[in-house]
Amino acid sequence: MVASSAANSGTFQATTPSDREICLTRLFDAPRHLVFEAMTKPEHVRRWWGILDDQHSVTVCEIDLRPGGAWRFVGRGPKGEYAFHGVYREIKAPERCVFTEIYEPFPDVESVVTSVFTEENGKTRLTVNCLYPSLMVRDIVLNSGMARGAGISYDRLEDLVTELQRSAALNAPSTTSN
Amino acid sequence: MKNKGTFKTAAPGDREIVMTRDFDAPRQLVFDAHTKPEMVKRWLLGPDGWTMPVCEIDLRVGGKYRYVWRRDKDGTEMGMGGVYREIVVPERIVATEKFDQAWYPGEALLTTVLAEQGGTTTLTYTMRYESRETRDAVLKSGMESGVAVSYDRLDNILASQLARGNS
Repeated sequence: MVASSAANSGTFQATTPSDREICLTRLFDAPRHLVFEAMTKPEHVRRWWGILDDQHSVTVCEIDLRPGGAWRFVGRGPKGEYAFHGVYREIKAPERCVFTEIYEPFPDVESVVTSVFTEENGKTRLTVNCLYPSLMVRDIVLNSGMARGAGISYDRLEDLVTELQRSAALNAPSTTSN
Repeated sequence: MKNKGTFKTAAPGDREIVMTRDFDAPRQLVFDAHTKPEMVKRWLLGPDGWTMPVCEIDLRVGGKYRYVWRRDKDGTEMGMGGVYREIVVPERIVATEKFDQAWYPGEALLTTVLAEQGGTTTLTYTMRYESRETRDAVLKSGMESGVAVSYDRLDNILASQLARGNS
């Protein structure tokens, strides 16, 4: 496992606000438009989604970011590939994004994922609410280690937004003359 | 668990869901796992964290069965039961199903068929509902993922039972 040296790692929390929900939240040291982009642009998503260690990668990442647009992510790990897809329902950059999600081995079982990005003392709080069709499905997802996986993925997301900010600063036209 | 990938779900016709899965065990053992309470209680549980405090089976045509599951964390209970319509040991069980707190309308008819070939038993589990709407609602509920998890657990139990028997 990659050591969790990422900033804000300790702010990650997974809770179950109701029988059918899992709620994930975490702070990131980046403006929210950057966190929003890191979650909605394929070249960024490939860097963090399901990247539990160097044996995991994203082999397919398709995002049609508009209401009604489809997305599909395929991850690969030591045990094989796992694929998810869904449809965007609501997009309000950089504050809110709602999409449906289907784990492909169970194509009829749809969950609804609502991501909210809020500014909090110069940082961005990401809150992801996942609503499942039943308590049973929610528990199966929890037992699968989803929260632990999300925690590690978000550490990679933090690394990514840090890097994006650094390169943005380097490329920005100089405003001071020293 | 080498048979994990053999689990398949289909929704043929208007009112049915059909699940199939292979088990590396003689069908008599798979049949027992579906009809002996002490075995049923060990695998027919859905996600981890649930137990089956009530498992009553009167295995004869016209006999009743009753299952109650309990989520240990908060005591949530879910009960259901039905009546056996057909029993052919060790290959076929037909029973009705009705949940205490109905989450789909009416009753379902459940048919479990076991076929054995070359040491592998293929289980075919057919659920027949009263309407297309009900069938579709059950598909969307994710019930199949609960069955898949349960069959994985059964696979492990059968394997350890056979390993014990052979040692």
